[in-house]
Amino acid sequence: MSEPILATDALSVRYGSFVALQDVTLRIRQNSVHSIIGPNGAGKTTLFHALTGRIAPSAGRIALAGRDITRTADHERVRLGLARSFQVTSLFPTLSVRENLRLAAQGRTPWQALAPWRRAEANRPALAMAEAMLDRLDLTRVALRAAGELSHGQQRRLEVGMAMAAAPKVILLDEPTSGMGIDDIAAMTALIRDLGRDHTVLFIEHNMGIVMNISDTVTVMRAGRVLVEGPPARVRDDPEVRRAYLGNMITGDLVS
Amino acid sequence: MTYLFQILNGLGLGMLYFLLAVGLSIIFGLLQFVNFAHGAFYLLGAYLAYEGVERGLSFWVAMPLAALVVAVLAGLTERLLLRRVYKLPHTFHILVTVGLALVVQELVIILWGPLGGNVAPPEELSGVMILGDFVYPEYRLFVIGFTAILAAGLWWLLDRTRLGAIVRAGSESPSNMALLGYDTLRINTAVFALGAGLAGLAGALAAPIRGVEPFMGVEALGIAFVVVVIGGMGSYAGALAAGILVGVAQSLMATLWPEGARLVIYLGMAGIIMAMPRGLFGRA
Amino acid sequence: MIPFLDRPLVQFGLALATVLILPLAMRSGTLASEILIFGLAVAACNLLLGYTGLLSFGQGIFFGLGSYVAGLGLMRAGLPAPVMLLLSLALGALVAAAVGWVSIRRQGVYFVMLTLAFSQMFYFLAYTFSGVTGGDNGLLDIPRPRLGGTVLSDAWTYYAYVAVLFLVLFATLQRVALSTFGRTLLAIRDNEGRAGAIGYPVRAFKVAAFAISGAVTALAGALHAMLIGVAPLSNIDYHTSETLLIMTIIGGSANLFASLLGAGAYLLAADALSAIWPRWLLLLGLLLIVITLFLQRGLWGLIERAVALVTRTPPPAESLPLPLVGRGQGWGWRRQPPPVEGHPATPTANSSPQGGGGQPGARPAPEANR
Repeated sequence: MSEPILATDALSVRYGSFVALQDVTLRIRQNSVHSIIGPNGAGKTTLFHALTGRIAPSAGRIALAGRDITRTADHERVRLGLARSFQVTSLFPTLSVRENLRLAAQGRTPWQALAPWRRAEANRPALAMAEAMLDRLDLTRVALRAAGELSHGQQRRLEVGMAMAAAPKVILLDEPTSGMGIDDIAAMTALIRDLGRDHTVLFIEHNMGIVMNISDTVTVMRAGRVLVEGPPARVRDDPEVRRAYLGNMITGDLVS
Repeated sequence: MTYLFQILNGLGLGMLYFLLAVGLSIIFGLLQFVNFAHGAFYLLGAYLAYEGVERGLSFWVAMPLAALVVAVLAGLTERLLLRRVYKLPHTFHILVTVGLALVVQELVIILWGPLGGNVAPPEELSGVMILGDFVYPEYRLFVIGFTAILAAGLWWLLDRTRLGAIVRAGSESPSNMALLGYDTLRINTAVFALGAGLAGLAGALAAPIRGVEPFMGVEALGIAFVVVVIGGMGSYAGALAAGILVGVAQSLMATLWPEGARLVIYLGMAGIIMAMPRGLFGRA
Repeated sequence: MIPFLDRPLVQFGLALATVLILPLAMRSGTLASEILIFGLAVAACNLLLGYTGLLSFGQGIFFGLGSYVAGLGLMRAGLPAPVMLLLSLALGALVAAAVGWVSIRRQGVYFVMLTLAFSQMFYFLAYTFSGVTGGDNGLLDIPRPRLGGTVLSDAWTYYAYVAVLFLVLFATLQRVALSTFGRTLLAIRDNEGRAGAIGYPVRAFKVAAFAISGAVTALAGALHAMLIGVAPLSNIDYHTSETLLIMTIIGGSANLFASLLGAGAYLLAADALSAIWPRWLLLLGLLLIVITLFLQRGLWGLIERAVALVTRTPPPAESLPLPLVGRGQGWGWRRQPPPVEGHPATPTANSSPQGGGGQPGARPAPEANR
């Protein structure tokens, strides 16, 4: 097995006596879709925050493509190839859809962007990336609309697209289908599945249908720890998982 | 002895600053509204007291009346104008209140002229108090005592009454108030009138000490901001502590380094914000 | 917004037309020069307020600084005017970067207060150290620049000097606004948290915006001192900051020609009204109230609406988010933290669907897995 693209070793986050994350060890394989599930308060979002550098872990280490990034600043991690989308849509609402994507692509070279004499159009790779993303996200028709005017489903796709536009080694998606209607969910599922072909995707999701359908690996968390990890079929049948989920967020998918 | 004199002066000044700032602070706390017209209410309070005394009213009548009139005018302004502005970005809060302050200031000049005037302290308090070789004006002592009682009353109002509880709940989370079924609009008006009335009262109380002139509002606004920022936005205790701190510091500096008095205060303010971003008593 | 009007060439054309029309339409060369000078300072203010979402009460610091550089450079040090102007640019950038670097460490209302405190601090610095600044009197007898041996003492000749500098700097600011830098500023204004999350060092961008804004403002201050022959204390006053902000908002935000419009309208109105009635500030106050209630996009918004009417394109929607500092963005004070900021102190609250706003559709939809 090749070296994992993203790895954590005994990662822990504590606030005083409260343990949010305890000894989480993960191995994310390149070009795989890896999902994280678990009941509310399991520490999924804390894990994301620790991975992206929003919060500093109390113990353990994080490595991206073999490089230790445990103490690396958040925007530096973006440059090294770690991008994320947010559970609550976070766009540039008055700027056009195309500009949102261009800015995200340009974020790979943030210090170059600091040059006040450099024309935005001079960054051809960023422009090309924005166009490619518009096409891939099926947003070309609304490219010139302000992001704040899009429908919810379109905004969620753009949200994910912003993470993709940075051409990251690993994309972290925080509940990409949050708040979506059924049609939009289908489009998003297709998008993530498609992403898995040439990207590494790590995502938090509550929709078991999506998780079981498109994941290569599923990690189940509970109370800050990893409960079970494995391919969807095995996780689905794991008695511990069934117990953990009973009464909490049992779904037709898990039972059937 | 000069230091004692200056510290007492500073205490009186500081209590006035407190009255001024606490109004600004509760308005900001409840309404999230940056009120650049606050100095104008102070100015108006001072001039109304001046007018009252000129017309032969006793200071004891003119002073509370001035505060009351300011409160009523401020309440009307809130209902007719400011209410429409709350939902706009803060930039427009500043713009509209700067406009309002200009209107008040120019109206004051039109009505009373650009030169200003003096207000005699009430006769009962026009003398000095003598303690050994320490001599101090009685009116200033009265201001210290009176504002201390007011401060206690205000604390009671904000901490022990229903209105206070509502105001505090509203400052924590504005949506709470509506959820609890309170008439938010009315409470907003009441709080705005109260805050402005306190500024007016500060102006009326200050008038016999410093006289009245049309630009005293601008100066007061600057000081009020300093006090609120040092004390912490929305904090009652902060406004009190910071008001006294600024008053005493300003008073002491006036003997030590008169030209640099203001410089030191603003330097101090910048330093405190850097070290304690939420002020001395600000909540995180 | 009407895209045509926002094109850089159209904007520059409007500025050029204004520069050419002013001498034909106006009697006073001094007032015309003042319009261009303030137009520059307001455009610089717009870079902070309109483009970056930073409402700074510190612009007067840099304007006053430029005036003092002119006074001290030309009279005490005997520098030639071009050298002095370069010096004012450099010092303006330096001081603005320092003020900005400290101020942006605080957000929202506290940021505004800090800039206000700095503004007062520099005012009292200038007031206290009157040996350098002339205190209340200011620095007097500042000479006009000379060009080819002749002093530009005639108002309209000096206007030409100012006009050239104005156009050069206007074009420069346009270039800045359209650059990768300027467009990233808009992103920071819109959503600072996300801009940081996609990799931008937000603080560096804000400090740079301050530096550029401060440099241009200081140069405008230097030009102003040479125009009136004095570097007055009032140039570094809080009122200068306030006036520059008012002009910026009157004009319209995130649009450089709007800034010239704002400066021009303010100065012309002030000139006309103050001649008729000494209490004209009352009218200004009423005007500010009217703008807040009815004209939030400023004069530029009015022009956009007029053009839309003439060309029969749909008028710019008033419901569009106003490109100014808004609630919950730059002002995240207790009310609602921007989505990206959150509260690390309560980490588990975010990992529940309820914590994320309780979107109803977050629950599994059985149809989606077939």
